[in-house]
Amino acid sequence: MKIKRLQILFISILLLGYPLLVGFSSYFIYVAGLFIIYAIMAMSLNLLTGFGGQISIGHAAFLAIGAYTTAILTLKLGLPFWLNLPLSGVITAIVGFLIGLPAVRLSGHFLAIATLAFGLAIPEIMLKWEGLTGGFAGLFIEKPSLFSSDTSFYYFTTVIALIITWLILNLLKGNFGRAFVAIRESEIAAEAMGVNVSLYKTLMFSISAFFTGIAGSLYAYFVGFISPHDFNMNISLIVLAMIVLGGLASITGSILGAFILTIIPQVADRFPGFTITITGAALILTILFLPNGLISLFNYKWKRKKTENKQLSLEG
Amino acid sequence: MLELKQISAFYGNIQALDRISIQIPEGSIVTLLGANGAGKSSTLKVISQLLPIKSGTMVYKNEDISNLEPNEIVKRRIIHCPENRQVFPKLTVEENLIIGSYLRRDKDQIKKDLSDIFSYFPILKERLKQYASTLSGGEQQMLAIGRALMGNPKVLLLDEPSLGLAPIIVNQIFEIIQEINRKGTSILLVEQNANLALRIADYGYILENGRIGLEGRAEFLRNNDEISKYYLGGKSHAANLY
Repeated sequence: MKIKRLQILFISILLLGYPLLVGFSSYFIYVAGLFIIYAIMAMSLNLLTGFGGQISIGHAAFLAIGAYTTAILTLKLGLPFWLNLPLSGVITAIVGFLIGLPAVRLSGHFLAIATLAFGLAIPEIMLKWEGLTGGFAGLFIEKPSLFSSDTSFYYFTTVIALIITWLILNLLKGNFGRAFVAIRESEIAAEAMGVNVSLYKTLMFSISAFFTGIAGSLYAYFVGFISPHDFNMNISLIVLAMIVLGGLASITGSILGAFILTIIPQVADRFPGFTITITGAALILTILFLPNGLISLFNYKWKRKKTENKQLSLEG
Repeated sequence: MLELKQISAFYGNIQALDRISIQIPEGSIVTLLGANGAGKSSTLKVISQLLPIKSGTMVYKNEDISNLEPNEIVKRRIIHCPENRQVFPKLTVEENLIIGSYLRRDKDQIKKDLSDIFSYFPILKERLKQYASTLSGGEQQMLAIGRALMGNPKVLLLDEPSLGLAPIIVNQIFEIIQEINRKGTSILLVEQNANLALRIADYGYILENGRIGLEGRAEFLRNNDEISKYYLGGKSHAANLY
């Protein structure tokens, strides 16, 4: 626990000082902002998949719903941003709850397929529902007047991300986290211990969707333009790759994974096909040699405790 | 205290239990015996509501509990210790035990129960920070029983606690089951090892193809040669056979 705290403290200081380091260069701030938004999303997915054992291959759809909610509420209803941000979270959480309902009955591959379908359907709906979403042309959103510059919005995003990290860590420490992990490890035993498995599965989806919706809202403001293409299957798979690469069931691992997979495309996109190759190779190597993710290299405590190397099953 | 009346249950189309009636009086040890697939584990699952009841009623302390959710059964302190132990492999021994007290809020009593469990199973205290998957089979069984005890059971449903364990460990575990019972917990014990179960039980039911084939006081079942031969595979061989 202590080492995790230190890691997060270190990351936060680095993030807050970062704009100074890069001389307020807007490109570098843009990349860092993206990283933070993906980190929120990766943590949310890890809550669901790493801790709760419920796989979701359509998580970008939640990001899309959060982003579009913000854009539509701003453009059509003129709601202020301090209202949009939580509302986007809440609306996405409601959708997450609805997706969680079938998840109570589905598990493993079947749940994967269901969430895959969800991830494919949402961008498609947004493409076709032009009246509301602007279709292919997308929507433009201005930053809130309070944080109108890239740098100030970057700071705002960082603070929100830190709050969310703190919330998730606390959530996992208590009875909630224990119930999640119990469900992942053995549903029968969890049920026999009095954990209400169906309730917690839907809750897991709602909570994960809530934070992802907030990330989506931040994304819409930060990037300033959203279109269905921003939330396609690729994003879902990359976020899944982030948590596998960084470390399943690890919050700092999610952050590390988000960092690496946000940086790689920025560095390697000049060479076509390079990003995908590196990402794929990194994933395979991680799964083979570091089943607990890259973060296990940093967690000395884990290393000592590591008594077995059995890979954490995504289907469990 | 806990009574099943004419309970039937199905796995899909396959009938697992056919109108079985069982009573577990307060403070007793009742055992369910029978061959593989006779419906022993299904009976426990029905009580903890892991398997839904199709017809019949289940009454606990004058309350109809036939239609409750599993967590509501646990709240009434009827705790199921499932077959094959089902410990949480990637959690430590400590975390496994804490999950056992998941629905309880009485922190002081939880601490006391924890130290009771360590007095039954001292080995668990030594293994506290280890992953449950690194324990031996016997230790995992102790952990599973300990975890169930953390729910402070009034009725404990034990599913084959002797499965796959060395005889010396089995004896140890059965002594502790008796000890738990002496402290006021009623026990419903499912066992393949009929002789052993009948030695500590007050009453026994013998299941056959989802029905109750025979029931009676434990010493009656134990001492009746014909029953032993017919249902339990012969008195003298029973221990070796199972």
